[in-house]
Amino acid sequence: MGYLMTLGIFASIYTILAISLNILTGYAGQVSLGHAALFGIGAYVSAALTVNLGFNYWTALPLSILITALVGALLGLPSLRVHSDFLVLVTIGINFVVVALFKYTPFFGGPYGLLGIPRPSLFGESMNTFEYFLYAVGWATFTILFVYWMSKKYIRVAFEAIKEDEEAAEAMTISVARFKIYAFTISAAFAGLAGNLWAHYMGVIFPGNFSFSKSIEIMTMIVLGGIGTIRGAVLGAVLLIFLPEYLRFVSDYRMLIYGLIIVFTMIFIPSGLLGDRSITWKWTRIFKKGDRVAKNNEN
Amino acid sequence: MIELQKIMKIDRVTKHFGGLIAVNSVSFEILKGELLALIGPNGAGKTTLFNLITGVFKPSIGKIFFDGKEISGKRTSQIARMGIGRTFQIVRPFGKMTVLENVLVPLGKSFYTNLSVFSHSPRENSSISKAMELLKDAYLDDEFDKMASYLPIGMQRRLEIARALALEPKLLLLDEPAAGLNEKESMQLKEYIEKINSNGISILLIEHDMKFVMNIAKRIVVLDHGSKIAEGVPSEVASNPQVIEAYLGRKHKKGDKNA
Repeated sequence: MGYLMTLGIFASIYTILAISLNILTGYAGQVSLGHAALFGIGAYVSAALTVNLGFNYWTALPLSILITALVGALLGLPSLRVHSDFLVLVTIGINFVVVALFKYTPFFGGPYGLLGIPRPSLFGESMNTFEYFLYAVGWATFTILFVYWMSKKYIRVAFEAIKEDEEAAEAMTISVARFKIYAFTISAAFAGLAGNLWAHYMGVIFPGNFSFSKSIEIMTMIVLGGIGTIRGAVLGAVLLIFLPEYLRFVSDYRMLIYGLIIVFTMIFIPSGLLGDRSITWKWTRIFKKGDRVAKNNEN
Repeated sequence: MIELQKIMKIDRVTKHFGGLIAVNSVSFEILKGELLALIGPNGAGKTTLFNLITGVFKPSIGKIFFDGKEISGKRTSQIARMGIGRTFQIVRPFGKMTVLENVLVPLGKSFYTNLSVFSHSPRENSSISKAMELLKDAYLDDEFDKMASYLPIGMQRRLEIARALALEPKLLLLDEPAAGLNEKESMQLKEYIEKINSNGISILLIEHDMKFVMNIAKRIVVLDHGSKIAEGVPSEVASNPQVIEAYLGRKHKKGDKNA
């Protein structure tokens, strides 16, 4: 039971991570293969604040989100100069730099990481696994609702416009620079939240937890689930957390499997399992009368 | 003589790219409510001038004024917000959005500069009915739920214009709107452009299709090799020897559409 609970916590954390990457890549079209860096910054900031500086968890939580968001905004600056494949390379580079900073900075524990990160306490007692499970699921739910709400507003329209055509978006009064920075900041804030939840559950963090392969893992989740949708990010995160646990033989070959998933999804189901144009998603909606998705199908 | 009010003033604007002078000290004015055409052979600098007006490039020398304010050096999105709508030479609707969604994008104009972008929804009835009205004027209301990229080129052109009009511009810049259109589409477009102009929106039109220009423009500015060589009403311009030389001297190259 505790084991299932732990998987539930991981699934919640990765749901938040996948949704946060989806804001940046799925909505705003800024492909990042360095998302684990932001996850790591959230984890390390919160851990360092509580372990090294003696902050209370409830103070460290908003601070870690805020600091990660600010760093995210800074990391978004290169996206104003470089595009598509070059941006991907820059984000990969950033991932390595951030991991190296954790590794070589004594304040962050160096290669041995940070130990003894406290669980948050509620009414004077620190949370047990069940309580932490509810806590993580609560944050995941909040993330889903917040991003769903955001996706119905003009911010999503602006993201969609800069993703499709930057020059046309500018001609429509949308400042591409402003909305790229928004995307990086919001995405980073949620990645920071995920990092915080991870650090305070695990109790110990290492630089290796936030390496490039972690970034690939997060990307695999949204590609498999269906890029650009919340449901896809959630499904991708849940599948990739639970499946390897039940197919034990698979977990030794994680990276191989992730690579294959990306390759095959891209070739055979580019919209992922639940993307707007995926076959599976259309099946679920085809019976709905007057549905735009089903109708566009016929063209 | 009555001083006519001008909406835009291009004041001795020059643009070089390295050693190449794309636009050479060009000056002209666009009057309020006017439909002015900018013509010239391939490589004359027409699209460069467009890009200077819309802020894609900054003039090397010279200034551009819109509605009494200097706009040279401002960002494209700021210039658009001041009231200049534009279309592109190669159509650029948001291809993965529906026709309706394309027009909803500019209707968010007042939200994109502040945090109300988080609180306003494009799905409000007032915006949708306004968008549908604009689509109706562009004869596109029947296609509202189609993906923009699925439309034939003539419709994509009109969609781009409808999208620019949603900004409620004072000046509309059209970059070769008739390129690649058949006779019928071209007629439909002409009607649409005249209707827009009669609503008081000034129009600057770049066009390659001389027949289309002579039919629609009240006044024409001719560029050649980056410099202005003529300006006047269509009949004057058509009989100007310099213009004839610039065009006829190159007539055998007319298949090339890259100007």
